[in-house]
Amino acid sequence: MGITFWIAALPLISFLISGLGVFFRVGSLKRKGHYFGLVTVGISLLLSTYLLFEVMGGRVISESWFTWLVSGGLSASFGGYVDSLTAVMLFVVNFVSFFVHLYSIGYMEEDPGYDRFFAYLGLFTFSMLVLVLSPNFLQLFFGWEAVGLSSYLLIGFWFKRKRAADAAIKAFLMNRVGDFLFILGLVSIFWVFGSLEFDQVFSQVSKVSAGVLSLIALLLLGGAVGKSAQFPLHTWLPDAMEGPTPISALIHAATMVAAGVFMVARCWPIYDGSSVLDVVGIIGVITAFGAATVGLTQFDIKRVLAYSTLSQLGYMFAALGAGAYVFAMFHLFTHAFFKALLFLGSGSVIHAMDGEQDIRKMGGLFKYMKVTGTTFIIGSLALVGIPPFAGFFSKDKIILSTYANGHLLWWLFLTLGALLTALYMGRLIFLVFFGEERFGQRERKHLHESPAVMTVPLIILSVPSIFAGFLEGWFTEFLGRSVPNHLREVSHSTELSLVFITVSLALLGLIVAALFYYWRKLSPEVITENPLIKPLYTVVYNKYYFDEIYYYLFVRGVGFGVGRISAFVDKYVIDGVVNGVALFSRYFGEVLRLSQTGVVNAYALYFALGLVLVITIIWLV
Amino acid sequence: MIGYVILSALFFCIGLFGIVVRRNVISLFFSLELLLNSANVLFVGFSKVHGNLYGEIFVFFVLAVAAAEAAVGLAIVVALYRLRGSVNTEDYSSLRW
Amino acid sequence: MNEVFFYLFGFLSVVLVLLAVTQRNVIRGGVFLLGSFVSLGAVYFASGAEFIGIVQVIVYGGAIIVLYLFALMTMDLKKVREEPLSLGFVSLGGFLSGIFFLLIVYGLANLGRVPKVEISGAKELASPLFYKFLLPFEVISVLLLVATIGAVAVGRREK
Repeated sequence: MGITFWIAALPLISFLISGLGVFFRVGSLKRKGHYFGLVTVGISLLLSTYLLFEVMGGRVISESWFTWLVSGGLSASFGGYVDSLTAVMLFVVNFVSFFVHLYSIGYMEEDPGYDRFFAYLGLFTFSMLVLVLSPNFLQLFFGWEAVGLSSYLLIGFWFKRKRAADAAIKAFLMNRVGDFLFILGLVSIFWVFGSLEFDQVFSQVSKVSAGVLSLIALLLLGGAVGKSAQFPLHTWLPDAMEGPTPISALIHAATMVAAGVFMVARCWPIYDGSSVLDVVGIIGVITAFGAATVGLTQFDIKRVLAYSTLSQLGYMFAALGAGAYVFAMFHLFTHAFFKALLFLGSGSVIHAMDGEQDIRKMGGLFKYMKVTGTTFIIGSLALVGIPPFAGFFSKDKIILSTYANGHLLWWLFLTLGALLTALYMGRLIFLVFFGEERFGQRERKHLHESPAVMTVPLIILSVPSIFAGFLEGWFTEFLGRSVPNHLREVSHSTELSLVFITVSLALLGLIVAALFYYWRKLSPEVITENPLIKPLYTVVYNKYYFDEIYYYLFVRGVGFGVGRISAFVDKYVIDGVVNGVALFSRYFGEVLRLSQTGVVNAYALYFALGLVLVITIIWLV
Repeated sequence: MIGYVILSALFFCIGLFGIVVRRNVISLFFSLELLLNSANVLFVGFSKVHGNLYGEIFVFFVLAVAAAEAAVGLAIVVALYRLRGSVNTEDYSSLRW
Repeated sequence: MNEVFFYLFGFLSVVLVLLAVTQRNVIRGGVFLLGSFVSLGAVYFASGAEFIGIVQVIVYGGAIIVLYLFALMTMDLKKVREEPLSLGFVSLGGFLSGIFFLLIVYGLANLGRVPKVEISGAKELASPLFYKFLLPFEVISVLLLVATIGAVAVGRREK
């Protein structure tokens, strides 16, 4: 049981202690959940950092923990495999988890489910680490399912609220749809390759036809689409905002939703050998652009950020689709920091506003919460892609790769997406932190900057949001040891012009947002109420009616349809068989009873008959 | 040997026929004695074939048992006759459905 | 010579038995049965089993059938005489008997041994009976005692 085992197991210990304490109502453990969480994740973080340096030095770590089951040709074992891809993920997961733990001490302070929250946080961290450390598909799937479970538990943390409970089920079910395809993918892998171990599968990829690889890649992609909330399995993520904000930061921004990207990157030999990358990219581009349009129309601060997350994940998938696996991971890396920052910042705002999340009821908050405001602006600048903040570097590389590898249509929409990103983030900032205060006296009295446990993580997270971009060179080389980055050469001048276009569009977006929401020179209502625009606006505002379509198609149509069929089968077929057996027994009995005549001669006859039969049978046999 | 076998078989089958067909209880007993006798015939035959006397010894015992059985059976029939007033098996059929 | 008597008396006993089983009148059936048993005894004589033959005549003929006839005499003859035979039973019974006959004959026919006619009278039987089979002999006497007591107990009139 080496170091990788402990990296994963420590957060599990936090879960077990806090969880059992809650379950058995251990009084001495009450309100202590954060200790175990911080300590365990903290140590895990230190160990992950140590491993990162080890791998940077050129080592690749491969440990075996234990064998789970041996059945036929399948030997399933758990272990830890750390190459540069895993090392980076370990660091990111533990880093963000640690600061989310810290932040939650303040955010969840008044919540009665305090310890349960930290237990679930521990469970999630454990699951994500197991997923990332896996050396084979089975452990990957175990972690995959476990993060889905943790997500369900945490989205539905306030389970007494119907909306939260519903959102949790929705998330889990949509995930399940993706997971079903994923399982089919696992089965096909085992069928084709005879093993689920990464090294064994990936080394034999060249012996398999492109068609088969494409099928496997598509099935696995199904799982990634569900887990990373890409089109068409995206509708659960905005609703997942019903959960506490710290977990929106941890799970639905930085880590779990990134698992799909991680999986595709990990399985790059399969994807490179298939013809499915185009599908991956198209899905990414659609999600990136579509989500950005919706994010522009939303009024809930967390929903705007949720659609932003969808959009940025779309960027990552687009990068994967273009073959630039490393750039996709780089964006995952930077995005984890600034998106977590943004979510935690929004949590700070919500806390100050005593639970209000509608940005139409905010405004001018900057002077009341300078730290939150500043860090939030830093995170937004990173997200929008303003140099020299982190997002600029990563997003720009993605846009470059789509152009360079010939996907011009993708490039167009991703670039337009950058404009939209600037628009909606600018709108958000100006409406929340600046301008007139649109709230009442009660809220004003309540307004305060958040306590240190909450602002310190914000400050800390803003550091990589500013500087992580400069790691691009190192990152590309480091990750390039495990994962390829197919990039066609472009001239330096082309590259510069692309950057110029993107950045100017971003700045343009910010200026336009300021025009509408800060200087109040233009009014958004003029545009949205315009009879030509209004129908389009309504469609976008209603998220393209995906929720409604899915409801009618699947819940009503298939769900009730299946329900009616099942009821029919249960009533007539199954009950029919059961009742039929009973009826048959009765009639058979009634017929048989007629042989009991009471007359001895008849019985003697039966004796004789039986005897003849027995003798005949014995004689025949 | 075949003579004994045929004789025994004939007795047995006629006895069986009698048991199945006859309604009178006493007739049933007659047929029953026939069955026992068929066994006796066969025993004697085997005894003669094998050259030792064990078969005949057994016939001796079978005979004794048959006598005992006839006595007890008749006592039962007498009791039944007193109860039902008939010796017809159809009148003894209170265990029917 | 023995064989002739064997077949003769064997045939006779079968005929008498057939008659006995098919008689409407029970008493007549009983008498025919008596005749059949006596003739069976003759068969035993013809095979050389003299002691057994004598015992057959005495026990079956003189004791058992007589016992039955005495019992019959205690019953009202009018009720005892009638007896309709149903066709279904008769045909089934006949069919079954036929099957059994075939089975038995087929099963035992291939023994192919020839019987030796040795005279076995009381002297020859006494030796095994009182030496080797002494225990069963004694047990049989107990059995007869038990049967006697039982018959008396069952047949008693309730007071």
